[in-house]
Amino acid sequence: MARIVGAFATSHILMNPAGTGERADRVIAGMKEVGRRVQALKPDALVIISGDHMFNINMAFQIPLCIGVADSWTPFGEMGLDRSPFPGHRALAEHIVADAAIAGFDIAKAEELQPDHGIVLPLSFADPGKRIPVVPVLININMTPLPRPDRCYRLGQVIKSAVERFAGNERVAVIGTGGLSHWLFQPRMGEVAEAFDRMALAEIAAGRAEALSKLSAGEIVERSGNGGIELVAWLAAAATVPGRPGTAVYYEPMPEWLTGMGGVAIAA
Amino acid sequence: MASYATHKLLQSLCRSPELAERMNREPQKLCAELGIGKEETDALVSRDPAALAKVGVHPILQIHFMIAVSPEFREKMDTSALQAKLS
Repeated sequence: MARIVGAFATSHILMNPAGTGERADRVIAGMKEVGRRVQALKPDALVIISGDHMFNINMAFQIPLCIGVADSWTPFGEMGLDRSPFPGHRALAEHIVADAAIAGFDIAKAEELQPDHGIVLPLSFADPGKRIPVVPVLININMTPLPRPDRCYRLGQVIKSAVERFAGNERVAVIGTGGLSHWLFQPRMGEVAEAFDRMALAEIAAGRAEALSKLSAGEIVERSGNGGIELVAWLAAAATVPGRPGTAVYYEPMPEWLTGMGGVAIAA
Repeated sequence: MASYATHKLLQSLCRSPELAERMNREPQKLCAELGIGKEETDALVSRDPAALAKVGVHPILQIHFMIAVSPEFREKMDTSALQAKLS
């Protein structure tokens, strides 16, 4: 049967490095280390959990949860990102959607996603050759009501259960992406909540993501910004390896990029 | 919250170079055609983040707007300088 071999969480953006000095280099080194650890597990499939930045899911159809089920994906290509296609894993994606429905999550299916940086940037270091099929899971953080952190943790539990019931031998790595703290076009834009970021990173690395998921969405937004709510993708990923301790691989406050950047690796 | 007419325009910019070009060249005429009211039109024409926030433009769609109208913002958001180092 298929199984989760590891879970990871990482920031999913890079910007122009001007003025960032060695911190940008350390972010790159951290991302590459996360990627090296993903590759060391030799996964046959990647489940990448992120928000969409309204390049696909916008106000026309405000879909809370979405899983891409296609055989291949072509990135949207914003921010100068590589648009070369990468494979999907239709059978696993369809199975997760079906299993999640039984568990109480009705998840929209998508054939035509053009994954944005939330999926594509982490993939560029998790699988630079773009050979491993990807199941994109999108949590909509841009609509109200915001996703509940404990519900997102539960979603991760459901993904774990679904993978373990999948009739294949896939070794599945899960990557939650986004964050850490950032305020986008809000009065506090440019602030980095380093203490909150380091707390979140440490809690997840210590195997205490479930406790962290008891924070309300409002509290996460208050403490880490409207973009900081992307932490829910980290919680969902951590829930696929419940209670397992991991390693905080990197953290840098990057006010020039308007955010705190970090990553964690948890082997199953 | 800004009107859906404004948000629909902003969320369309990333898929329509023609709309983005008109947003740069003749924003008032474009807004009038789309039935966008004066207050939101003025905010869009000003390109001022505070004015856009005041009329309730969604923060993510402010990013889409800035990508469409600001070369400086596009340059700041461009990942290509570092992307090659990741793989």
